[in-house]
Amino acid sequence: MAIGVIPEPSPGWPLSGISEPLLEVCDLTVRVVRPEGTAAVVAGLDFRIARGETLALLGESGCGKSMTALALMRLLPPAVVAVTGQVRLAGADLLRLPERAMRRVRGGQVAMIFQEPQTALNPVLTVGAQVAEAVRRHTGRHGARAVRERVVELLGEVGIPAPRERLGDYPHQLSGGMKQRVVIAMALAGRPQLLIADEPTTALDVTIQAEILALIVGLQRRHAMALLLITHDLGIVAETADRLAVMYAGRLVEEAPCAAFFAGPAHPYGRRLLASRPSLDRRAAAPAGIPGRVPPPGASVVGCRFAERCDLAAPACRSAEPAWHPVAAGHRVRCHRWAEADPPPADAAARRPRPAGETEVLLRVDGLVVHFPIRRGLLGREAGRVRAVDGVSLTLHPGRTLALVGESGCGKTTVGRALVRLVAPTAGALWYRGRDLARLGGRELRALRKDLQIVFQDPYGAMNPRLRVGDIVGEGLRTMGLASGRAARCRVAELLEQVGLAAEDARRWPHAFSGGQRQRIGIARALAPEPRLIVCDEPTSALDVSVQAQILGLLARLQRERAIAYLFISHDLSVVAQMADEVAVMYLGRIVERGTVDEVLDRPRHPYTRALLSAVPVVEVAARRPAIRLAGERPSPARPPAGCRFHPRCPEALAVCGRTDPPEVCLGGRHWVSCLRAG
Amino acid sequence: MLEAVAARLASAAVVVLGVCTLVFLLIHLVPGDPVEAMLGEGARPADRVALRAALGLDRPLGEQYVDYLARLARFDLGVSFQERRPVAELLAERLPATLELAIAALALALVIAIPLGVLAAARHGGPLDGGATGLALLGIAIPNFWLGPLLILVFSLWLDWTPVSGRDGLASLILPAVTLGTGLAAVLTRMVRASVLEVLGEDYIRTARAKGLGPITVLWRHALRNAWLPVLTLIGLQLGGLLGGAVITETVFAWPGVGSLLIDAIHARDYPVVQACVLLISLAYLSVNALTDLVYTWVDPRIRLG
Ligand SMILES: Nc1ncnc2c1ncn2[C@@H]1O[C@H](COP(=O)(O)OP(=O)(O)OP(=O)(O)O)[C@@H](O)[C@H]1O
Ligand code: SF4
Ligand code: SF4
Ligand SMILES: [Mg+2]
Repeated sequence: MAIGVIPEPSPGWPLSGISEPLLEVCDLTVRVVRPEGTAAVVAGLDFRIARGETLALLGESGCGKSMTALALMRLLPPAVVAVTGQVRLAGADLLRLPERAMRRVRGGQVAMIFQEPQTALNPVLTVGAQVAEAVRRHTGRHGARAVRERVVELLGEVGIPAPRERLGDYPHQLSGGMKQRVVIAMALAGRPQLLIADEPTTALDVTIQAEILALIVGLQRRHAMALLLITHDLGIVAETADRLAVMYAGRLVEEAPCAAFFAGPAHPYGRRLLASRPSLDRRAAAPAGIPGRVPPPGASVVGCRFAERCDLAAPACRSAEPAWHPVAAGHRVRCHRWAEADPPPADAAARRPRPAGETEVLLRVDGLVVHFPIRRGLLGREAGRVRAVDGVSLTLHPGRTLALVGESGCGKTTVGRALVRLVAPTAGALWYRGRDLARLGGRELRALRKDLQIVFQDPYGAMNPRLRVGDIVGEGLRTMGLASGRAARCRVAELLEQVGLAAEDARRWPHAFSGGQRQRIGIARALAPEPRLIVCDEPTSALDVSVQAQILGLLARLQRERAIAYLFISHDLSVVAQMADEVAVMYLGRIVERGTVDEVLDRPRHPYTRALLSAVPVVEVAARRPAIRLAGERPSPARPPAGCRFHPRCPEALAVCGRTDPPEVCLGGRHWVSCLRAG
Repeated sequence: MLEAVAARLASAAVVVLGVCTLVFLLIHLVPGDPVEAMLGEGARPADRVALRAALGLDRPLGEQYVDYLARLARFDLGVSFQERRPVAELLAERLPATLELAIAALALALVIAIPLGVLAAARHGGPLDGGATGLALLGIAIPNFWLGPLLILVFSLWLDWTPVSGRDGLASLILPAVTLGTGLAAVLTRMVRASVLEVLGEDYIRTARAKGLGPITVLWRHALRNAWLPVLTLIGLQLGGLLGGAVITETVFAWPGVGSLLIDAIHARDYPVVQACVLLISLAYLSVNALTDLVYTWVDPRIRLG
């Protein structure tokens, strides 16, 4: 059941460097059942991996990366009806191996690490038992003591401190990063020749992500394993892979050595992807994004699958699917017109003018504290407090963006919610137009509320699926009595057009829209009452890079047009670099450093800011910062450490840091930092 | 863990008190005058006054309530009008029969439901799954007042293998246990199947398979341990129901348990016995549930280790 074009031998292929491939995939096709029939979600894939080599499989959500990985392991979900093609591992075709023999391969020659460490481990078995299973299965060790010793060795090798004491722990007692280490230990147990890592760090915090990535790469080198690294992050590719293969809508569209790709991607998709990526150093240069969206799997596309979104597309592209074209040694591309230069971008990526100097203050947050009681027992006795936000001061200016950066659980979202009064502050003041929002209630608060809106992280979860888009967008207008009836409908139509949707979309249901479109709906809803401030809570973290670039561009345009202030909450420093005028870095309920984007990102002074910056994977080799490793795990906000809250993990800590809570000191300009070693 | 146990026991105690109160009020909630209902139309006024005094109904409600609780604490459940014997004694006579029937039915249900449910889930979508699902539907649809007589007809009257009714040795237990166990087996089969299926779709099952483990190890070590937790709760709920709710089955087979005692007492308007039976049934239900929760706490490390 060959689909599309079978790759023909061509110059530059097979790759000159690869004499004997470990894994050779030919014409791999995976079909799944869909309501409208079966669809090929992986279509005619072919690639090779040499022993000890790292191949990155890059692609956006839903393009079939995970399906490919699962097909190699023969672990596909029941919805899959057919897998065709060949997967040769050291000569044997895995797709034709009897199941019993395949079980020796799984976890033996080929091991896999999954995306979601939270759910990858069995909650009712101890981690020791789960690793031991893999050891027993693949090493022929059976004596209880011999197995235990090997488990301890493996847990030690993946960097779990005091592994012997961790054997009896259950998964829920470990943090996300630790769980991922356990999964890696399990994968190593059978001494695999090929390690498949499916987005191994996507679910983790930036600093943890950097550590896990370093661990995987280190282990790969030490054990001379081949690594198939599945990711959507170009930075990760650049930092870890030898070669990469780009996937689009179930197809491979480009394969290249990393250096060649980053020097000049041949496929228009690769080029736009690279241009969509926000970068720490291309500050305020709005990335272009890619218009439109990926064709849904199974859509019967004649010709090139990228044609709808490609600005080089020619009539020939829509009639014949492009075959592989050699670009250089080891570099090939599936595009008819790869040799053409890009047309000049429509709106040249202009540097966003940054408003300079002092402007009026829109909202001043003064010593904001939000504590959540921890209730226990029958009577709900207060057993402690989660100090989610513990004394935060910020200033927001009209038409400017203040980015709030930090890792999960540091209190960013709570600050944002307190600003629009979705949670009540425990203490502190929110000065807005001479009034303290924290102390307002009832009608006074409602009158001001229209000025303060929020856009949520998960566009779908934040919408009532039983309301039409028009009602979702117009809800605020009606409940706040700003418009009704015909006027409201006109306003909704206008808003939808402003965010790049069609007026007719008002009559459709939210489930009919893609993630990026839903986020546009969320933005239209926030814009409806003409707010002065919008809290954007991770507005793009659920989106693909190319779509993220579209949404960021939209937010920037709306800000220019209406002088709205944004509180932009994000864990992604690259996005922050692009969007923000000012940055505040948050750790465990406190702001540890704040200032203009140049001050904080170019001259970070707080050790935590430096560690965060060093953990961001970057494409440009010259821009790489030496890695700063943080010891241990983030403490619970219910029991923040005494003295400087960062001291247990701080690489620069002094003895005094454990006793003294560092005050905020000004380093000049707007640059403030809370660290005893600063100033 | 200890805190969770204490909290669970405390909440059970509160509910028990509530149940006792409701049972106490039962006699006051029935429409009309309970004394009249018990003695019938033609009773002599003197008898009425005497019964009212014997029941304590002539005293203020609060006083009656305190007195009732005090007696409960001494396991004094009053005296049956009909039998002229202490109610506690009657219950003690009947309880073993009910326990025997409930345990037999539960054992039967488990023996059928667990393998069937697990197999159906493991062979999801296959003929075995279809068969098991169909059987389960049938088992749920058949009411006990229909199945009981049917079984009697076939096995007692035609084949003459088992006694028609009464409680006389193991043979007499078979038909009531089958009648009562069938519905339970059906519910449990569906629950076990659903629970195992859900667990089989979890990420950690994929992880286990990615380690190269075989299907039996995956099912036994990884899936069943997790699938147990919801099934356990259901078994608890059902057992609680069985201990008191075998009313219909006990009546059909003239099984001398608490259920038939309750029915007799209702017919005879023997209020103290009705009260005691309702109290016992509710308490059985509550304590089995509390016990289930505690077992759950102990089985699930996420709760056990906080
Ligand atoms: N169990 C399933 N049944 C049917 N279709 C599925 C199933 N799992 C995934 N798909 C479909 O297969 C296609 C490829 O999915 P896959 O998970 O491989 O994407 P991916 O590239 O890994 O995306 P992501 O980056 O979001 O993980 C998608 O269209 C998806 O909807
Ligand atoms: S084949 Fe045509 S449409 Fe496809 S990527 Fe190349 S130029 Fe664009
Ligand atoms: S105060 Fe001390 S512990 Fe805290 S960040 Fe500065 S150097 Fe590190
Ligand atoms: Mg995936």
